[in-house]
Amino acid sequence: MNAPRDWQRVRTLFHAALDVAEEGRLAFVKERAGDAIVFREVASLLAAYPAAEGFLSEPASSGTLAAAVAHLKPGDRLGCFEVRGLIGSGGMGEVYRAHDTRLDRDVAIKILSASIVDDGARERLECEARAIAKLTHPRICTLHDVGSARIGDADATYLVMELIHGETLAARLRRGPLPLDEALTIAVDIAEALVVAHGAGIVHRDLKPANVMLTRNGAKLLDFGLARLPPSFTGAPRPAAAVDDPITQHGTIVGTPPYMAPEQLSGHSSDARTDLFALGAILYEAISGRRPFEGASQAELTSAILGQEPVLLSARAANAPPAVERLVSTCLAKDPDERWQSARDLLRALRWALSDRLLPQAVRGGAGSSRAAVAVASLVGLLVVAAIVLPRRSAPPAPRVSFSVYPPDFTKFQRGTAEMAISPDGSRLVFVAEFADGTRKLWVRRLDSTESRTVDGSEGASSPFWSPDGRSIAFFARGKLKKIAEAGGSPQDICEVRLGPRGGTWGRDGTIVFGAFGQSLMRVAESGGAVTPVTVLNDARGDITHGWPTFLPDGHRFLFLVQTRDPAQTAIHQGTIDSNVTRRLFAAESRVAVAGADVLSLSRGLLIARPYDADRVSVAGAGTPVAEHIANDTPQRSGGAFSASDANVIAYRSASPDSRLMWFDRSGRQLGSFPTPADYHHPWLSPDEKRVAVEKTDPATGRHTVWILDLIRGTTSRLLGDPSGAHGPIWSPDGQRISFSSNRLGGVDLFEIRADGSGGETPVLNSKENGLEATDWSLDGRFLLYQTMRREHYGLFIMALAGDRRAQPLFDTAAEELQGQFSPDVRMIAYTSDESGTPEVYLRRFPLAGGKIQVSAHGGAQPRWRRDGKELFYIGLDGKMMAATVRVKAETIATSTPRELFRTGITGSFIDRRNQYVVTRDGQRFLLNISVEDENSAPITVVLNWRDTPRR
Amino acid sequence: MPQEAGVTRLLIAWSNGEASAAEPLMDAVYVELRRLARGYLRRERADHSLPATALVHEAYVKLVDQRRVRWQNRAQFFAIASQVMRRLLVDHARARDASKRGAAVTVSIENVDRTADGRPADILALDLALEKLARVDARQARLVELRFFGGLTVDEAAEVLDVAAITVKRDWAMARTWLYRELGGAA
Repeated sequence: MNAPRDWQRVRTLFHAALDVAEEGRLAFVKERAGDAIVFREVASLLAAYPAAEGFLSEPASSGTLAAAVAHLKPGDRLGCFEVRGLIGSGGMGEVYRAHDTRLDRDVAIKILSASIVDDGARERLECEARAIAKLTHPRICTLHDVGSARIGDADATYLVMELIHGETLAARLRRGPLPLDEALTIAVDIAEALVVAHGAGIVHRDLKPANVMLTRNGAKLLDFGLARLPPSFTGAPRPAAAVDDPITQHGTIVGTPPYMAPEQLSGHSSDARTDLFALGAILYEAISGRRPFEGASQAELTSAILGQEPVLLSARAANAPPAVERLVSTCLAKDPDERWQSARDLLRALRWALSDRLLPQAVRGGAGSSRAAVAVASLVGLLVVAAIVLPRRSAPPAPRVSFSVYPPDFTKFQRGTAEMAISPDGSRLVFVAEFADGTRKLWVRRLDSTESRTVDGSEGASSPFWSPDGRSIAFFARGKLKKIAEAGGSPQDICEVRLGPRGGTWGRDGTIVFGAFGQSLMRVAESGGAVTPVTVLNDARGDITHGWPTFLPDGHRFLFLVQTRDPAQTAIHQGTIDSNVTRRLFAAESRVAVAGADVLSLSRGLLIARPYDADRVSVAGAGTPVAEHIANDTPQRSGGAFSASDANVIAYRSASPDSRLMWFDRSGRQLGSFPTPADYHHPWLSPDEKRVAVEKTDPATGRHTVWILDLIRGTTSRLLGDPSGAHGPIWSPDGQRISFSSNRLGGVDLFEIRADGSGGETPVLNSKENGLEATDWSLDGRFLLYQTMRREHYGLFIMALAGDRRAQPLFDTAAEELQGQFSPDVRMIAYTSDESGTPEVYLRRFPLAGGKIQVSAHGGAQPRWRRDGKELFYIGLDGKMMAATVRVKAETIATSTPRELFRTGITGSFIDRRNQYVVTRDGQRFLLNISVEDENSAPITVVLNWRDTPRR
Repeated sequence: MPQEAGVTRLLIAWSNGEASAAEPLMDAVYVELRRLARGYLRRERADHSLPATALVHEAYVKLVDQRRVRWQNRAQFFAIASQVMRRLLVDHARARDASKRGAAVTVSIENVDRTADGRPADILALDLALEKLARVDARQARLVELRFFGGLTVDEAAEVLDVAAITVKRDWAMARTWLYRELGGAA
């Protein structure tokens, strides 16, 4: 059956037959086959066709592969079980109906794909099965037994489960959505099952409609097969063995059900809240008939789950009340911390929603009283909030005041760290500043003064923190934890801290709790003495360090940061000096500070304040933003540059953004920078030198677009109205228009727009090329020079702007040619080429004639002309700004040896960016795009009464 | 950043027909996918199963400068990545198989009186079957690779294979039927 011609006929006939009604297919094929071989082949394919319809429908899924083979037939025996028939193929293997001949009952047996489970995994599976078998509950399909058998030529593991009569929710949903009450009831049933399972330390992780059986007595959950709960969540005992997922061990990877939570897709660990996400997705689909996340391909589905918010339930189902919509939205929050935090909470909310519908409801132990309890709690909550809010309304609010604290003379601040602390009474700030020789010292600034006073004796200090009475400061220096009176004097040693310190906190009774790299939190008395652990590193969780403790107002409990090997597990926990039990609060990227009843935390540079309940170990809501662009530490330290105390004062340091546009003169003196640092690229000076067109990254979306900076007025404005990306701006010689590249149409094309943004974009060049960027617009307005990638390398092309507007290659060699710049008289082109192995700047006549002249020596890139054409600038590979004079006499071009003007401080690959500077016409001033590496420049900002005025 | 520029250039070059870019591009993608896959498959706390196509998607985001490529290049990337993914999964499956061979059968909870027919269907079997299909119809085998390992849609596969979407649909119907039969699924 390998002859190509036969295959063609088979193929044609196969497809033709599919167009014929099923009954007539065989006859149709017989008539047209021509010979027996072709007929047999087509017939056998047609026979396999109906069953094959689901085959390979989900990418790289073990389940769909296993569906190809049914291992067992009626009458086969697995020990005491007699196979009666195949029920179906599940996600992990086939499921059969079987009869237990000993206990005389029918059961379901699921065979896991034989190749999936090896010896080690079988042990783990049996271990987990023991845990799951203990889950006897009406809402959970009971697991009776787990065994292994030889089936075919391999060992298979099988699970013996309760046989359930009914249909799956998936099958039911194929017929359409459910009435609201029914959907909510099923959700309640699922939630009840999850409460029980989570309480036993088991997470489902594969919750989907196909795993929910609808029976006469309500819904039941199936397939708790491969679930476990991280111990940090419940503290429940769990198998000690490594927890590889047996499914993925054998190269078969389960596909993406549309109910997978973002953390499952992005490779972070999942916990009970992952199940709640899936439950939300199931409820969404049950009510509306549509899934919350859809995609034509796996990739689209993945990005929908990771990045898109689902269409509101009410938009898809008119009968969905707002409470249910909110309930579902909370389930579907991307961040697990923003979801319902326990199945119990969700269950309560579901029952409440259901009872609002006036259905008789079987009340499970205390549902009524729990509702009352919730009502009371929220009333109390309201009162507490009122207590905080109301007095403020009656008295004139104290004004919010913020001011900057700069490093004292001859010192600078270190990179953003927690090297500052507000005193408990809010009157003073202590901070660390560093002298030029690297010596660090403490300084104290009274917030009602403008001078900072050094604390003598505090040499070598880092991470200071105050005593509760505000009279002493503790700090780490030279391998020890010390304390010193605020006024200065001899520091006293408290204890040794040999490894990198991670902050400390001083409690009311004189207990100090501190952290250090690689350790759990330790306690010591302020007077010194024994150092004892207060928390325990959890190896199973991958704990590296417990650090940055901060006491809560009661002086016993504290919050601290648990740093784990997997950054996704790093989180804030609450601990107490009375025991080493800790409770997880939320995932975090840095430490937190406590300000009265609020906790301040950093999220992507945004400092937010949230009310904190130490008893319930929870924060409420999304929080109020307090400040932006806060410097965080190195990920290793994760200090976070902010501080707070119970008084109404906070302090923080901003992080510097990625780059700054800075003016230099020829000698390298800094003349000033454009006021707004941002993530800039490819600045281009307007012909009249009053404006700069620049590409900027939008921090929120990551998109690049073009902005116009007005150098006279100091304003900035976007050039393009719509959110499409744009890059590589260039001014027209008359200053009226700007051209730029954009991939808004799918390719990378050149467009043009009026410099004031009016009139919309006109396409200039629709290219099939990629990486298209205009590099120059000739001063006579006749040509556009652009670089683009053709074949494997960049080349320079030229496009005539008049006449036929033809584009043609200028240089198209095997080397890379980039960054072409016309000379002002358009008689020469300067460009960068790497044909020698190193990027160098060359000159050629335009139109091309004669050979090329190398301008740079020892490497160079990004040439730019002075307006009179007599000087050419470029950047040397070590970041130096270079200049060479250019003399044209008759037919010869001569260039001088380039000389260094100044060091730009720019690093990086000079040929991967189009241009990192521009020069004024007279060649006297340079505008450089400098990336800002260190954050020494930002001052500390102190804010008084930060709570009172809403921000912006 | 330099690495990103390199892969982007290779991808652009390759989609422009430069065959010599294929090898280094495959290598770069293989390294990245393997790194990603290792992280997920072997991590001690791999408490979830990550689909192959999500890995490919992640590799794409990490390796390619999306400002510079057209969406057809994206399809090309997934085409390459699907080949690489298949190779990865097969290698992985072989490694697991090799370590399992010779291990004694442990005692099962219930004695088994009889074994049933049928081969375990898994990535290795599919791989062999695909190779067999490729000898008969290369394009169909390629299509299976693109859709099953790469997760490409019908349109994207049509773009990569340079055929009409309707051809893709037909080929897909036939290829999966052929493979199903080959893997012993028919009655």
